[in-house]
Amino acid sequence: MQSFFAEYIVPGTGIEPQTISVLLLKKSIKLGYKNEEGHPQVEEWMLNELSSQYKMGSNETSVILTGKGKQLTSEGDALHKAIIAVKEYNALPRHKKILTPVFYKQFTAALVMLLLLAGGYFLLAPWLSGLLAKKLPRKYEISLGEKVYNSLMKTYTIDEQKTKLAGNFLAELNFQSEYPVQVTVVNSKQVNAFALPGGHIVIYSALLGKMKDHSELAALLAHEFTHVNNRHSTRSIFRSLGSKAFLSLLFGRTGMLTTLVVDNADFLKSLKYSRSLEKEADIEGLKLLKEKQVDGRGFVWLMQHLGEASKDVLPEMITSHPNIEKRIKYLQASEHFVPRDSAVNKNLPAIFSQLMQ
Amino acid sequence: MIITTTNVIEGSPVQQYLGVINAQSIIGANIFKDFLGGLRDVFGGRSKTYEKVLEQAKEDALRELAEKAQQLGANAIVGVDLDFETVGGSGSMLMVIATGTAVKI
Repeated sequence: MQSFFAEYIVPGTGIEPQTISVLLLKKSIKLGYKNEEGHPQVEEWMLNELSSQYKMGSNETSVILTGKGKQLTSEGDALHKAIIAVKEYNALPRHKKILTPVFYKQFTAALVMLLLLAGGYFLLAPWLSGLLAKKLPRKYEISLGEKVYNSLMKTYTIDEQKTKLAGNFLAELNFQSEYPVQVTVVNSKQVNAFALPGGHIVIYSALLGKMKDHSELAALLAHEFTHVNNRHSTRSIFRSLGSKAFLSLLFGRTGMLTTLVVDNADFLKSLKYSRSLEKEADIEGLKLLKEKQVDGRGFVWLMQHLGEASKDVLPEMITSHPNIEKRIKYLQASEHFVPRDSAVNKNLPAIFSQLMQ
Repeated sequence: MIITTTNVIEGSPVQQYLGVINAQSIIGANIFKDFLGGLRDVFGGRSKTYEKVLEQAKEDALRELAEKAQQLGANAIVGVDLDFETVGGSGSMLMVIATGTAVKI
């Protein structure tokens, strides 16, 4: 909005020329003057109905409302120039008003920023968290796992006796690790088992109940043990939480990493390893069974139990685990797959039968 | 029309006071501008996008003020004061209030 003063003779009245205020708006000019009765009055002239002219000789601008015979004059060329500028701007096509060079600059800047942020979120954060997981000291990993374990166990009832027996079974298998691997059996109707960073393996009683042979428990422990020993859980946690941490860093809510992990303890239960990690745990677990001279078929039977429980309704693409049939196939095809009809370590079936009572 | 923040206009004494007038404009920056503004907050620097919104709101408020003055038959507004506030749930909208005295000089 710009404002000016002008001389105006109200047509058709006898009143003298008066100095009026003129407001130049986007589409019109507004004239404020006194009418015959001396009251203030406002008149609006549309820009597309008027023409303005600057007269050099008298140094004044005259604005004419075409067809109505109305005219006002203003000193200097300021009003004329302003009207021309607004008219020219209005005449621009719509896209030119929006798509200014400044707009392009800002748009590009915003796009680049978005790409950088997306890159940070999808690539940098997972990569950094992977790196961090590798560098994480064992001690810290163990205490982290301990905290998560404690917070998770509040929601479960631990079967003390089975836990003890399963612990004996694990000790009998004698897997070598720098982590204090411990196994806990909890009462649950779900057929499931999971490993926490730093050594805790949790088995649900329903899964245990489905087992028929000691080699199945050995296979399960070997599988979860590989998750622990190869730091799969830590890597997955960092990967999942890395993006979260990145966001909280970006938006200024930096919390302790531990708090973040413990707060998300519940989510760890449902933590899904990537399919490649699952396969790694399967194959390396099978290798462990071979070393410990345990029947490799235990793995296949275990898979079948898991398959029965989940019925594998979801196609492989959207579940984290490879589909059960595929798992059985690659397990049987593996060079580490060694079937044994009788147990070499007689203690294993003995503890297993105790567990099943 | 003379619009000024001062109480008197040098060389033009006030002939008639026509009353206090005010006008406001409440404007919301759009979601993209909020996003860009948010980035500025993180990385620092002047937020041109928000500055433009502010300028637009001020412009609108002053235009409305001038139109009101004109209706009163004023040819100047003295003692203009501009107030800036944020309104809306998360303070995401901007309000500009322009107050002044319409006078005849």
